[in-house]
Amino acid sequence: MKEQDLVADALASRSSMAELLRMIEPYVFQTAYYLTGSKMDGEDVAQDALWKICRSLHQYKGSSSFRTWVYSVVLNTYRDAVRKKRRVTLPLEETYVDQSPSVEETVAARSRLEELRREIMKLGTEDREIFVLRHLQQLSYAEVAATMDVTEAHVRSRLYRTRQKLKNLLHGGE
Amino acid sequence: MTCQEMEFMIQRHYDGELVEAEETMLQAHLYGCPACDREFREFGALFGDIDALQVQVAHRDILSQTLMRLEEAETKRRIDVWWRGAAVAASVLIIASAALLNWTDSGKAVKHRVSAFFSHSQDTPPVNEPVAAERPNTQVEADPAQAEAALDEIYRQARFPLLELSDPRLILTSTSLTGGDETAMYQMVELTYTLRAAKNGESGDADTVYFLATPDNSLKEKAKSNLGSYVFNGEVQAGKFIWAKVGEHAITAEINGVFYQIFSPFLSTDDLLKIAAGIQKRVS
Repeated sequence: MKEQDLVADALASRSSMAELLRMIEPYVFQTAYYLTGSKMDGEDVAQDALWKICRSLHQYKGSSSFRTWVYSVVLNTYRDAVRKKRRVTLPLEETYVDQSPSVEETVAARSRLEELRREIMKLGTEDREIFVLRHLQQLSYAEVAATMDVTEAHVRSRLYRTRQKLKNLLHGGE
Repeated sequence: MTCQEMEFMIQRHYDGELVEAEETMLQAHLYGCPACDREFREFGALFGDIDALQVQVAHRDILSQTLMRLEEAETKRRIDVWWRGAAVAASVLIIASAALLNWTDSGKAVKHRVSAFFSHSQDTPPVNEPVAAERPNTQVEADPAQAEAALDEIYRQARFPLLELSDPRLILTSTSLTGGDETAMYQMVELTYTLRAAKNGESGDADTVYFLATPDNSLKEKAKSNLGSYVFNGEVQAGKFIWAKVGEHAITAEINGVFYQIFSPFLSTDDLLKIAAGIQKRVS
């Protein structure tokens, strides 16, 4: 089914809206989780983002891909949360990723991955957003650029620099 | 190719973007350059870690919470529609009873006047005494008690300073879409007016005047959904407001070639027909 039709159906019927939300919810949560670095903050951002998607779905005109539209809502919600959080409590960057070991991670690899996660959380907001969208949500460079409303060259340049930095920190001098 | 340029090529290699000729060039360079070969392996380790970063994290049921919130908002919107419908119905009735709907038919131009209701009259008391509103007979299928209570509340609060759409103080600031309905599949359009303060010619926002309208049901067949055949881009300039016809509990009006229904659940069809008859008589 075309994206446009999915959206049209969701606007016309409650069950289609539920279906659409069910489809995108995992992506919305995962993105929010990786951006915030915390399960609880990720849940809050994801919930706000899903609600915004519900309420502003009629504004989606089909001129961009629905996928990038959804991601841009999540990014904006995340940025709002960062701003609010900074006013009242610790910076978001200081809340580290929850312990969520997967079976594939060996003990040695796990500590290296934890280090990588910490370094990702230390990145600036824009670099982290680019990293998350490209590597953890598997968007193409063009899709990341469209989501963030910047040029593809800008995305590449930032990400190349980020990866160089991470490599030097974590794997330099091997 | 320099070692610095190679670094970009190495990253593009792990992005899976190199074409065959570039891949050959890279491998040839790595074979003869230990520094770049080390760089290549280090990036390999990083990309391996990045691939292993993704984890599935159990989380609270966000979806159900969102759907529940949607349900609550929908319920609230319906109540809101009733309330605003009552306001519009009351204003329409006043048009009729106070004979303010004045049409001139000099052959060409028809002057349309519609009175509007605005709710914060306490802040800017009208110069004239409030017009006494005649209590209408409510004929509402859904919930007559609720309708009656809503009207009572309006009469208690409002003093009905009347305004005509042709009044230069009244400015249409926006028209916006307020949502669809699963069963009836209609859109509602909220027209927002602001009233420019009239004291000594000063301008400034005062009260907000609301009309609530839905597209004509005759377009329902053509409308697949909210993104259907009639185009409504949110913010539009409303043009002439022309009465067109009367339907069940609604008067249809035309704005910029699109038909809308004034949502008036508290008026019976007979009430509307009487108003429409008056209009048609003057127009014809």
